[in-house]
Amino acid sequence: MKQISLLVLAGLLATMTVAAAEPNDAQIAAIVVTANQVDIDAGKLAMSKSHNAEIKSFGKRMVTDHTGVNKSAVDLVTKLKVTPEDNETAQSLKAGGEENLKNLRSLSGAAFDNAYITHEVAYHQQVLDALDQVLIPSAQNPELKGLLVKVRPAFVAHLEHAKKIEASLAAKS
Amino acid sequence: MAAVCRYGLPSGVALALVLLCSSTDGSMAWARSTPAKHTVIMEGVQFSPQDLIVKAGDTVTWVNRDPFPHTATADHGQFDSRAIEPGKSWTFIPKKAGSLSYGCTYHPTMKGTLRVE
Repeated sequence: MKQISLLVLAGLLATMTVAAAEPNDAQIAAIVVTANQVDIDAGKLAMSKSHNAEIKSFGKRMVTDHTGVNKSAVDLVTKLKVTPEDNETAQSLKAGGEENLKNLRSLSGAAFDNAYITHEVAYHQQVLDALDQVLIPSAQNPELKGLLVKVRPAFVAHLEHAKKIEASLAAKS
Repeated sequence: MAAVCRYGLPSGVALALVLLCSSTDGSMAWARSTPAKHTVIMEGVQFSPQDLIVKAGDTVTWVNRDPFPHTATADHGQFDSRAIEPGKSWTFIPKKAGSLSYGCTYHPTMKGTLRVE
């Protein structure tokens, strides 16, 4: 199940890098907001469903940090008078997020914790790749580009944190 | 007394030296009593500067420029800002010399050192 979910994720993000080779700023805004929201929803599920303190705390951190990133993104696009424009990539991200939640809801205990954190590692890596290969190079407005550059280290920090938790769970099992 | 009269000049020089010394002491004391102000920026999930050298009594202020909270928390309990919200800051005045390693409790990759001289 975990593998299926990751395959779906990899497929979706491959679509993301191909289909949205040159997204415009309005589309980038929608992609950023959706990417954050997907991780907020997964974090909320981890907070309510996991019994592992590390997983719960990580989930809470994802909710707080990605909510903060989304707030600054929404504030900026409002200021720039850019209306986020739905697009195939944003829709794929949303569908992938729902698929992940569906999978996670069917799991419990250690299986849930492992699936959640493995997905978090893959998700942050793929979002980082999308930022580097598509979103940052395509952004036209310098302030939007600046925001993407500014929040990039958060994705790096989350990725490292998730990898650390994944390794500690593996060591315990 | 006769010795003082006879060696009046040297006594004057000695006095001048004493005055000079006390003046030097005074200015050193003045330098010590004016603590410097230092700022550490929290941005991009990093402390900048990562290593900061200060004197005991100096003011160190952490400013959070990220869109989510951070903390500045010493590894061995010497200080703990708790949550510093986006755009907010927190100030600490170290009293004792020592090398204090610290980090953000929310982001384990975020590390810094405060060296107090």
